[in-house]
Amino acid sequence: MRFILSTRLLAATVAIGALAACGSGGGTTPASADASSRTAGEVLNGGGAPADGGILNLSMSADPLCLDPHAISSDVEQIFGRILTDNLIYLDAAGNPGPWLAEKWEINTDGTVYTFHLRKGVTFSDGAVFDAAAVVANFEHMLDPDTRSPLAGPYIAPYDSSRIIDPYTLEVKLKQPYTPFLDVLAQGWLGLLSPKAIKESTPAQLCEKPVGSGPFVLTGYTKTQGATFAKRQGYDWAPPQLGLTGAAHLDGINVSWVGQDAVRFNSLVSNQYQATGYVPAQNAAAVKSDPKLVYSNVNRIGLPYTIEFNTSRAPFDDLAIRQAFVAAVNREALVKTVGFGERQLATSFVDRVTKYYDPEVKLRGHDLKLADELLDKAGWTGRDAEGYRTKDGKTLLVQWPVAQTATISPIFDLVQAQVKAVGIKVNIELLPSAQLTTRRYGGDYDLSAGVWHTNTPDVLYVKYATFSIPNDKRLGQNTSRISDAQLDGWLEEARRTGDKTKLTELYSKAQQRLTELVPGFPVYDNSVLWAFSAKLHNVVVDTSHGTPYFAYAWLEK
Amino acid sequence: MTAITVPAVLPERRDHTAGRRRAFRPGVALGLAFLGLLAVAAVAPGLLTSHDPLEISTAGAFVPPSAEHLLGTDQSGRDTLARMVYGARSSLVMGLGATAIAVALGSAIGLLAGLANRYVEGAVMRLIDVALSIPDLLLALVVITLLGTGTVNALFAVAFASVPYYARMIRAQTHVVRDATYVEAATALGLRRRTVIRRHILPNAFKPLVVLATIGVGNAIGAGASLSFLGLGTKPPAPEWGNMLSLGIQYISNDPFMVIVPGLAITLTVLAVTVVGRDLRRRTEGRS
Repeated sequence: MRFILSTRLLAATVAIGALAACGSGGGTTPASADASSRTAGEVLNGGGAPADGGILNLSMSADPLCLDPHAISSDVEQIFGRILTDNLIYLDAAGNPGPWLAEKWEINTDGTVYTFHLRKGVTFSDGAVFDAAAVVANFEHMLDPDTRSPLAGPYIAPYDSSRIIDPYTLEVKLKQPYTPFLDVLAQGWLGLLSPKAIKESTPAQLCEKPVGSGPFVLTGYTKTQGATFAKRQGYDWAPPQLGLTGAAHLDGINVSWVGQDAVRFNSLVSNQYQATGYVPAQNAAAVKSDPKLVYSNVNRIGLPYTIEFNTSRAPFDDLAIRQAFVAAVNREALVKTVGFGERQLATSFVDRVTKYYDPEVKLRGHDLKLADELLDKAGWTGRDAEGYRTKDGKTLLVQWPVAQTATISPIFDLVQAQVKAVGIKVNIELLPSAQLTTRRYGGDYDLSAGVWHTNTPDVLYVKYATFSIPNDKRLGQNTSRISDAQLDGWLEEARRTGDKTKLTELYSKAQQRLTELVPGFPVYDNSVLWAFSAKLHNVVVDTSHGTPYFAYAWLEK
Repeated sequence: MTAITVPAVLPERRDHTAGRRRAFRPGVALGLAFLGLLAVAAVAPGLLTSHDPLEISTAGAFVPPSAEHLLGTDQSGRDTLARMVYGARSSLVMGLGATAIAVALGSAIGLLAGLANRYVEGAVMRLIDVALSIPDLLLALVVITLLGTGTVNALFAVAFASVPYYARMIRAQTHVVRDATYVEAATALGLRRRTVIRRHILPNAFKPLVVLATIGVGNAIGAGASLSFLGLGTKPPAPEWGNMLSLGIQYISNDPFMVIVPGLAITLTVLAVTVVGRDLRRRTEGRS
């Protein structure tokens, strides 16, 4: 799979080069026949002479209730980040760090000092100048406890200090070597904000009105309804990898939050919205077969959709119970039900497009007999009136708090029904998201589910290192609360080395170790499904997130 | 989906009913037959379907109606007919339970207001007016916010939301009866106040209540389904019509039956209860 992918990536790189070369020169590239699989950096529905003007109406799924990229972990930021902000780094189509607002950089031999040479002539939309001091202000904002950053802050946790050599040269010192540093600097959540806005706003004000240097400027934001963006006049500093310069073609982008799957699908088909960031999987077949739409399904780097055990309390502190639970679940059936042919069964604790993904790692399969044996051996031999297992008069009951949204995944019911067959009782609690967050970070749950997307294999550290267990000081993402010295050692070593052979070995060992520790079980590889009208051209598949990048998109009149 | 509001006071229609009372009404007969079917579904669902409403079969998802699955299956391969049949019980429990609570509470408040001195009456009735000014689904949402979600809490929420209607009606009825000649006569005969209330006022004040409560059952079923639709009532995977509707909407383009079936079930039930209730009203008019 990886090898096939790299040839595709090569093709995509060539395509971008060709596009850059011909500029506005004519040749139309038809939408690919196989509409489903896209690759990072690919230009969708390209070709033709760009027309200026028009508003793109974009539907999204749920409002993160804050638009400061540093203060949220919502996946909205993968799309919004590219609309509103620019980054120091942009990944190339092969996933390697490339220049953006940092034109070039040097790294010292032990990987603790990065010297960035910044692009000149860049300004934020409030007039503030982009320079070394602006970058420092951003790092400090991400790490400021008042920002309560769940993502950007933790991602640059090894940051120690900065030294401004001259206005456009910045030396960044890290506490210890941190190989993923450049990769994470390319992510939407680490988009750069105006230092003036950071200084003059409270965290709440910045949530309402973040100011960036991107191709569009936020002009309005009504919570749970929508946000409007207008073209930034004079913008001229897009990632060089796009091969295009100048301001955006669109006059603006109007975003609406459309929570109901059916409404999002039908309003796309009816052209009320010319693009959606979230195509419901159940409607993918209809979107694909619609000649008026362009569809994209891109696997994202990071953790697959994974159901995790809280290993810090009973009953899942017992490895045998975790193994039994996994054996009772039929993952293929789950993927079939929620995927509608659009999702691939996960095969490891990283998505298959992640660097150092190990195809040799084997996850245990569906085995009801094994599940029963393990539970019997663990002493859960009694049965209550409903047929659930008991031990010392207590029912084998696990709590699964999930978000109460307009669209509740059928996965919860399915897993509940599957493990009932071996006598495990799952109690699904539908909770408002604020309450759910409190329970998550407080460790009050037995099961949790979700994806964690980042653009490096360091996702394993983010999800499974002891350091990432949430506590009073840090909003860590180790929701399984697994703590294993051996795993910690490998993941920490992987952060310190840039050597590819060593990294391959370390990440393979880590993936293998996770199949033994069973902090959870990956279900399907985490792909993003999105679509847009065939009248919208030049939409780029973002290299970090696989989501649409609208900087130079244009609408047919 | 909004709950249908109960008219606070029944319109007075005492004429032109004598001839109609005995006529056979096919609509009423159909309504009664449908309610009978629901009662069977609620008491003995096994008679109407052989499928388990919770049994999942991922191989058999989105099966169109067939001999095996008369109304098809949902996204997890559960039989839609079975879920509808088993869902009847929670709908009926919601309708009857919520109405019973509302009638009991509403009557107590209405009687208190109707028989107490004017200061107490004024205070109680202004509170009732305030409650009536809030749409009942909104009032139910307030109660859910206070009590939390779930089947039982939803039942109480729907009950509390319809208390004001019954209170107001009973209070008005109490006034009518209190000033009636036979009550004056009873008082003149020297009967104790308590006896007058129990023997004369209560039974006469309650006659129209039966009719209002019947129609109220339909409204309570609709309101309960609304709360479940919003994810505030009965939790999935329990078969409940509002749940089924809310889930079905996600898949409306894949399988319209997932929406049509529970939608029809709710509509027909509320319709049947209302038709029967209105007929009951026709029959009792002129007798009180």
